[in-house]
Amino acid sequence: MNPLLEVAIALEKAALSDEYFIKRKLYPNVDFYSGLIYQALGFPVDMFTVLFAIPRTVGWLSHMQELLADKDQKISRPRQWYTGSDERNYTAITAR
Amino acid sequence: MTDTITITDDRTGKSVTVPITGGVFNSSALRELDPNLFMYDPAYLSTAACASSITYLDGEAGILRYRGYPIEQLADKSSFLEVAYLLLKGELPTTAELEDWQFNVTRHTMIHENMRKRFVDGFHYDAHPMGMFISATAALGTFYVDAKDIFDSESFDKQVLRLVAKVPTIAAMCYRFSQGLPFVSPNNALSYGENFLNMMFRIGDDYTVNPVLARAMDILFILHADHEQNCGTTAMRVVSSANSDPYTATAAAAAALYGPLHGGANEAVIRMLAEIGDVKNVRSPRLQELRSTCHHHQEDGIRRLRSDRHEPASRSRYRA
Repeated sequence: MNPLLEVAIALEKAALSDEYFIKRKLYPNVDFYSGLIYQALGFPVDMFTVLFAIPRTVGWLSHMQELLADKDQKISRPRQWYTGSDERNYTAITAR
Repeated sequence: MTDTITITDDRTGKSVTVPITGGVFNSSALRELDPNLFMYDPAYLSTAACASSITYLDGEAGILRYRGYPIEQLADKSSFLEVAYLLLKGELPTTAELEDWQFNVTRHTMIHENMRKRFVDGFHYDAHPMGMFISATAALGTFYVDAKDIFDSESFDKQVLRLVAKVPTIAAMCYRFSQGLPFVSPNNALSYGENFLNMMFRIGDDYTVNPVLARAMDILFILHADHEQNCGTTAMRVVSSANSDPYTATAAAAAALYGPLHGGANEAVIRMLAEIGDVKNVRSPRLQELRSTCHHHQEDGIRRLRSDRHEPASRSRYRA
């Protein structure tokens, strides 16, 4: 057995009985154990994000399809709050 | 009676009242007041940039549903390819539809020989598999002349099929390259998860996929298939909004996922567990440390839109 699994189980138990975590409804999500399962399956840590990307490709394409069919959508173009300098005149390099 | 919100511009005394539907009001109300007035909303934490009927997520309540179906039921009873059909088409497939979809996916798993020989072989020996995956996914689109025909639904469906079928092949190829191992061709007699594990781990001829491991792979694929408007999906939508092809848009979304704040959570967990090292080190100081981390990232805790109200959902630094 992966010794880290024992650490993970103990850590989850400790956190779930800790007032701080209970009060804030903090609990482990799928990412807390998925890495350990990937390791058990034989995947190196460098492959974890790739393993995430394989199924998420389906989600991404579902969203692309939905977007292309959505009459409300246009090319994304958020606005900005300009906080730079006001207009000023160019100064010659010798005058800076 | 419809819920409404009234916004008053104190500079002019002008007011506008608009309906609130599903926890959302239309920002066009602001333009009615002043066309040059905008909301400052860094990282879009209070903005619904789209209407979507794909995934419902309420992190705090522990709810994740694809097209209305609870993730627990899908993980327990469904298969990844059935879930993929559900997400893409909106409804669960009939037996005939599922058979057809599975047949088509398994018959599109091959990639052009030049993808490997001319493209992937060009990477440095220690290239990160995710860096290779992103590049190879974008490169894949250059092999299909119809990739850009996104408004022809038959063509779009074809690109979707190709991508869903070929990403495991690309992923395994990147891994085999990084290990210096020979590439394993897709095996169309195997299921989606089995085929992936076979391409990943086969050494020689004496390898059969363990059915328990294949099922675990399939369930993990189901759990990670969608998580609504996170960073990667938003990248997908922004790039798609310029009508880029699906391969390029997928590569952009994968690029967002490569960022440690997005796709790095499980990797960070492994590092944390390794640092703790032993059960005897799990004690209050460790929890103290976890607390300060949680607290720090709570400050920017995101607010997720729910059907009827706004509440902070994710308190984690990492956002799947």
